[in-house]
Amino acid sequence: MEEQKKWEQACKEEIKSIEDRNVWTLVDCPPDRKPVKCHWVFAKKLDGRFKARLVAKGFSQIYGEDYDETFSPVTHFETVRLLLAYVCQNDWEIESLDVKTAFLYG
Amino acid sequence: MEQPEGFKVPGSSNKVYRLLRALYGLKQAALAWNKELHKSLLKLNFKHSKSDPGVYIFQDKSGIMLFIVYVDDGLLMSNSAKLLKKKKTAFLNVWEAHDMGPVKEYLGFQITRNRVKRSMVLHQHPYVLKVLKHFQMENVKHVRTPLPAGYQPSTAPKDYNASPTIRQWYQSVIGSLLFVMLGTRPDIAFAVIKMSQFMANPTEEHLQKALHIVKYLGSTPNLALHFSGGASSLDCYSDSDWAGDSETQHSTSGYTIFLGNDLVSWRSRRQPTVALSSTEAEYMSMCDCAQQILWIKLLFQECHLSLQHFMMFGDNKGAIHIAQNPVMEGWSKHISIKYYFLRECIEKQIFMLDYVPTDQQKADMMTKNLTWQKFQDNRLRLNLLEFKS
Repeated sequence: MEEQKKWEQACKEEIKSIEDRNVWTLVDCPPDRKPVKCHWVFAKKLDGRFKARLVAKGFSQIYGEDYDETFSPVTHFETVRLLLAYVCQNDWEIESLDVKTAFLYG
Repeated sequence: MEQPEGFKVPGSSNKVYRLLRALYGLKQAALAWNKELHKSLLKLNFKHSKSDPGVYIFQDKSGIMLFIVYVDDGLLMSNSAKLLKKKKTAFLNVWEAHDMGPVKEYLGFQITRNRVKRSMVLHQHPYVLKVLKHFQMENVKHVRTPLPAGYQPSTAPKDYNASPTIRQWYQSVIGSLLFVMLGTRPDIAFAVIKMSQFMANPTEEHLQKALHIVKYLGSTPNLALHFSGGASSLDCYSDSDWAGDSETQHSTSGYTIFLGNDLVSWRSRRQPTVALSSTEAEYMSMCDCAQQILWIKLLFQECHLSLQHFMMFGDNKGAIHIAQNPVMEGWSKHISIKYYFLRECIEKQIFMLDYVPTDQQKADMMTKNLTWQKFQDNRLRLNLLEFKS
């Protein structure tokens, strides 16, 4: 029972985060379009937090109608090794960070 | 988008959401996010690298800073602690992010650093364990090499059609192996590339051999790349196996590239055309390696990193001779124009080319299935050693 409440709370937080960022507006569905479905993904984080994430079912999108460009450039593993080796030799500072709710910014 | 379960707006449950921004799971989500991140890094006066789209560079009087981006993971490097802190703070003002401090993990690589010795150990042990568990190979008999020495797989018979089950299973094994291979395990490169040629129509035999590679990982889960610095020169070893593919007679190219003592780049690939001699096969392999050297040179220039010496080593005297001398003998006439690119690199002194005896070759294992003794020797020369936890 206790857990269920925590999950509900987590969902509410996610919805709030989405609304704070003006991700969506409520409209009537255009007659010629089919809405994309969505579902909840739940995860218990290692530090004990309950995290609920709303995920769109992107596989039901149709190319040209719902989306066109998709390619997102990423770095090569080689680049990471090359730069790590070089900066380690030269005693540089190396830090990492992990951007939160990454896809809400687009 | 439909309204999410449990959060339908009372009285408007027939309405849908129009998405103004991207949401997780959408096809265009990653791109949309990447564009935003790109804009904000440019605003912070970073320059976008041309040689690697995931790298951003900043330089001023106080020092150099590099920002590597892989979707939502960022790696920050700088020769000035002050500069790094300044730029990080500015970034955190714009983006909500977990600041994870000195690097311990990136893209699933586990990173242990010793600043006094200026050394570093890189491995993917947790991922390897996950793979072993997934394929239920945690307690299998140990093997010493990724594939048996000299093993030659053959294509499925013409009338054979792999069942969807075996195909899916096979692709998932190869996919997991590729990730480990590209990350920190050059020792399985040749085997994985070889077996990945059968993805479209794998037989039971192919699956068994792909699982043999998994067994090898299970026998050596603690191998890690060891970086220990050394001179700031780039040493590249190129090797080839002439007509190594018994079915098509195509040769295999391979190279390993070291920054000082540290293995930073490797590749094994089947050559796109048939080579008529071992010299020609080696020549083509050196061209592959040369392209990689040029790319590394460009990357380092863009990042304002100085790297003085570039060396390429091969073990075929004939191939080195045609690369260094404008000879046009009958037997080398047919070598495609694009491969003369190598000779041009040498004329322009982009790198130096030298001979290395076969027993000091460091790229042997990229081109064939070696015997245990040779395999072990080559692996040691890559500084691929057991890590101590």
